[in-house]
Amino acid sequence: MIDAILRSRIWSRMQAGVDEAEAHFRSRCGSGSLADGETAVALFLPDGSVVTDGTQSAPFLSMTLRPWVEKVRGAEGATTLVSNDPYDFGGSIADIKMAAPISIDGSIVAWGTIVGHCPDIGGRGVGGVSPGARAIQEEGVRIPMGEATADRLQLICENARLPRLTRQDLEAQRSALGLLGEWIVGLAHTHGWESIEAAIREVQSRAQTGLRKAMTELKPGSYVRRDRLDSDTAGVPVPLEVTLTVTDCQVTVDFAGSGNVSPGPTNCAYASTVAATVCGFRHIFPEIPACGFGIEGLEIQVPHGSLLDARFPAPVSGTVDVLADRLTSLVIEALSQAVHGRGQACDGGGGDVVVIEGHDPDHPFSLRFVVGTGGGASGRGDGLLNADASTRHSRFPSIEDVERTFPVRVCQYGERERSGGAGRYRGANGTVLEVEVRCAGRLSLYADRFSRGAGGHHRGGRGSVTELEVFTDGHWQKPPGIGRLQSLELAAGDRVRIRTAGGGGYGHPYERAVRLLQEDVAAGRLTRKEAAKDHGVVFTRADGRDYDSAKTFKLRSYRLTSSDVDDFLDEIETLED
Amino acid sequence: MIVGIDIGGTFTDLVCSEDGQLRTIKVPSTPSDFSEGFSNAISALDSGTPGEIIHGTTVATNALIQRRGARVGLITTSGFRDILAMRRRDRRSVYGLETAFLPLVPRSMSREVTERSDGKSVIVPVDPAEVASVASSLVDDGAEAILIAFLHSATCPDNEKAAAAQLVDRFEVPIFASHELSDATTEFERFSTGAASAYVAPILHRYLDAIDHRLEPTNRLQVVTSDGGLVSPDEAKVNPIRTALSGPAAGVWGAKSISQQLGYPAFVACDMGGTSFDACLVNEGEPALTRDRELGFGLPLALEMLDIATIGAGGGSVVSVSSVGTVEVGPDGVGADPGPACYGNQVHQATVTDADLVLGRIPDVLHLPGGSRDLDPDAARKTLNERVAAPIGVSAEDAALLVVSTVEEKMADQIRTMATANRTDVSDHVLIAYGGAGPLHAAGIARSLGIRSIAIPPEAGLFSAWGGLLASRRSILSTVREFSLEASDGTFEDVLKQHVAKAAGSDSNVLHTLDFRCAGSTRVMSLRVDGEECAGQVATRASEQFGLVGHDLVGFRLTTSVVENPSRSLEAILPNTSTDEVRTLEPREVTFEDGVKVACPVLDRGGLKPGDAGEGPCIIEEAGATTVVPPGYRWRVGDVSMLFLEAVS
Repeated sequence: MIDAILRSRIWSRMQAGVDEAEAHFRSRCGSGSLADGETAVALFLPDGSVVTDGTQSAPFLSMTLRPWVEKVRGAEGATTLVSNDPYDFGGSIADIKMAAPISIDGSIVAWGTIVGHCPDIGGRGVGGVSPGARAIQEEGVRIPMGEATADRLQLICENARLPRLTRQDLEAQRSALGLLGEWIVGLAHTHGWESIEAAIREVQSRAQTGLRKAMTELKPGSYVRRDRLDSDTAGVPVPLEVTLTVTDCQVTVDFAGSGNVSPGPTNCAYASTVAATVCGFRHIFPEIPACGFGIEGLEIQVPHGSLLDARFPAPVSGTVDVLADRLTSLVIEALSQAVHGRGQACDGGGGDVVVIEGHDPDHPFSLRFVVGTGGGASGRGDGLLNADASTRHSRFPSIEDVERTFPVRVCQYGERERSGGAGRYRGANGTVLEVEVRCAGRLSLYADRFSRGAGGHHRGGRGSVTELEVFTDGHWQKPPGIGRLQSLELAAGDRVRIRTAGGGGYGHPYERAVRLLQEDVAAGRLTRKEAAKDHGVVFTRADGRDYDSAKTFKLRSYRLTSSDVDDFLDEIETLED
Repeated sequence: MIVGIDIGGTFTDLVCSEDGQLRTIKVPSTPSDFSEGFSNAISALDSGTPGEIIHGTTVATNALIQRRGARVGLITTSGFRDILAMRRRDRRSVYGLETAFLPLVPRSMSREVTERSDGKSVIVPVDPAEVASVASSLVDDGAEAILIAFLHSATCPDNEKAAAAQLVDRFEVPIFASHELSDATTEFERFSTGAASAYVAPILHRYLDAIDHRLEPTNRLQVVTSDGGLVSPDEAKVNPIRTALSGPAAGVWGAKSISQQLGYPAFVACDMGGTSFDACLVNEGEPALTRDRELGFGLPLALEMLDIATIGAGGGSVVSVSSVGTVEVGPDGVGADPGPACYGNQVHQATVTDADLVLGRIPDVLHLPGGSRDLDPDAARKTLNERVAAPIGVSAEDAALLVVSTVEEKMADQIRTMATANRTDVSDHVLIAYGGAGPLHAAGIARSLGIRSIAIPPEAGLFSAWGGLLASRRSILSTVREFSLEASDGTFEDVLKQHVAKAAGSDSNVLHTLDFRCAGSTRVMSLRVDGEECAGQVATRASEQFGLVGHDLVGFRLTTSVVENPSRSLEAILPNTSTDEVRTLEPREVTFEDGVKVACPVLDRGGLKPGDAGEGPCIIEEAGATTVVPPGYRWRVGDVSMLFLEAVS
């Protein structure tokens, strides 16, 4: 066994190297979305086992580097490799992955890997979103694994709508990988690779033991959670189901009951399903480092032919934007039933993607918003407003920057009142974003939760569903399709308004503290009527400062003694806000 | 006589420079009314009353971090009342689940008015009557300060100005307009800066008034700001959050003076105290300014600050063993109370200071200006054993060595990250180390970064207090206007010409910085520009430096910083701090990296004269700081009692 001192020292250096490579990538790339966090870096041993990933890496992207390394490590005479194949490696076609072997004295000792979620990779839809795609060919160019030669990178750039930014992104990505390699070789020079490998093996073993121990917190049993995705063809919502079965020595995650492959982009490859599932576990057990999360002791079953096992040529661009986060949320929900104190109600979604593209040849532009949703509540407090998806780690652009850079005006950006699920702790409200276009363009949308809101926990309420309206020809109207829009024509002056879903509530709404409800009412998050109906507190003033304690007590205790609260509800109906 | 005063959470440090003598005084801080500690420190001087008082204060920062500030009312553009709560759609941490975020202004105190501009001109003028009515309702609801923050006010402040003009003199509460507090052209960062200023305003106003009340009429008080400049108390009240980082900024400013004096334009300033490590990377003599810093989750500040990075790594940082048996340091700390285990007040958490004591790197009596404190090596060893050594199965000494190297690497990583972002190689920089624990760990940090030369100022433990004595007044001029760098229409040249003209005449250090981005991208980059450059030259340099060949570059803000020449030189303040009262110190056993105990000579820094030199290993002690000279390093004392460490091999 390697000396504890050396192990600790080597490990912190290793982590620093991976973080340094990611900082390098983000500081040298051209695209704002990459600089803002849509990247991941991870280091592997030649047997494919993970050493560590970046402390700031986007969770889902990081997990997709595992199937990537499985493939590249078999490559002969490898130099730097590149691919964006979503079927083999997970993610979507916009996720450009690179890998490079790290060699010492002629033999490969490790693999550095890196991925960036490219803002555009060509194809039918702008910004990596092709809601109308019916086959992967419409989503962009698929690049089989191969050496990252100048020609190959040029091919990617020439197919993207923003070739210069893409070139800069790719060069930054490649040089970050080079930096990681140099770092590891330097470390080996100091400590000797044998010591480093021994340290890695020791930490891997301890992390896996740590996870096994943490998993004993899961109560044995079977836990089922169901959710529904909007249909890609405006048809019947698609079921999503997970059964988590915990026994003494095994945890099985079975997605049986989930829908079939979708005709549109709401699909993900098996590799993505595995990645999103493991992400859920990492959120529940954040103290365990990346290398603890192998899939040993964790069995993931995906029904053949389901949307979670998509194969060529099914489109999969919905993976990163919607499906991965929904899967992670579902797994978190299932785990929340099995573990005490670590759980959380469901989030409003993975962030809804709105893309506005200007097609005036003199002023072409492409504006992509990932609009936040309401975070789910937990036993520790209300949900986080405008939460980034649990699978991502990125940021929303500034409204002022957007208005300066693109011919649009943002009319409203804020909290969508009364959209979070009720509960002892409330789900956070969703977001409302309203944008006016100032020249002709096209709207594409890839969003979800139009047909079913985020579920609550422990009797917490469900959040509101997503809504989209377009102001055109002088009035607001709901465009056809549910959550999927491909290139809807917009005239100058038209407006787009999306109201994203709220998070699920946690605990019975009658248990919500009166002081929290006072602020809810004063802040306009709830009306007095809703405070009374949903939470059993009767406020006597519209600003929420005073409440009727006798009526409140009676109303709240009626919950326990009788279901007949009609008299009170009649009285509540007379409340004015 | 001039005096520098730095008020921390535990101690108030006073440094007095008179007739070439530097005196130091340390008195307990008085958190219930910090002005009392301030006054106590001046009273303790008992040698007349100071003329000028330079003051670094954390009153504003503490109020913000502890959420003890005012009830602020926000008046904002219709449709955007939630900007502060929305942040940038993020989460606190990558893994783990989240709970709600409370913005500085609660939603119930955030109200909208009809107005709009597009960044260039007003589209919908503001209605003064509506603003007055909304302000009145906020005051009725208990607002103690009001912030007016409209969309695009940094580039088109007309509506904000009109609204503020309507309210000033009508209400007793302070009224702030966001464009006067921050020139950030991104709404969340500007609103957040404005909210932070309004939030701490009543507390800072009361504090400065209380100090003013305690001062003699002959005293002239100046406050250090986050950009390292000096302002009068009245100027500080205009934008209270400008003082947020005044302590670290004063230290960096002092380091800058030292580097100028010694002729090192490129240096890394390292301030390690009890709770945090502040680092600043300087390439060309002048510390860079930044507008991008978070004081906590969802709390960015966007006003000119010295580009100082802070991490939770100090003497009091807690050491823990992770779930995989690796040792981690910080970011949590024990603070001064209860303090490290060796203070004798707690045995539950081992700290970096405990590790230093176990290794013999610090003495078991801590000499502070104005007193001393006995440390308990047994308690340090016992706690370190229980918390670190036993869980990973090593000896207390080995665990302590690991703690020291872990914290030093962590600090070096922080500097490396800054160097990566700045595309700088720091190996030819000089490391200037100060703060109570800076000189203790300087050699370790320098070695990790490949830096060979280290400079340690005298009174290193109180450097943040006396660095402020070298600060000077600074003015910042900023013009926000968009222009293409490639196809220049003369806008850039015009703006630069105006800036140069305004800065002319003052015999000062003038620094122009251009913020720009690639067309179609929102990512911001900054570049220093020369007063005579044209847009094309700047574009070429920017393309080369940032690898942007082929991009259309759009400039949008020119900032000019004018630093007046300091009224005092380093020699005037600090000709020679060696004293005649030299303590004779016993050698002690110190464990260095290879684990071997060395009987190490211990020198009193007060007894060292310019020209003195020697070789490591040795320990050099002064009140408030200890310098470790490891084997392989040479030390010497230079002018103005500066201590230098050089790597021999």
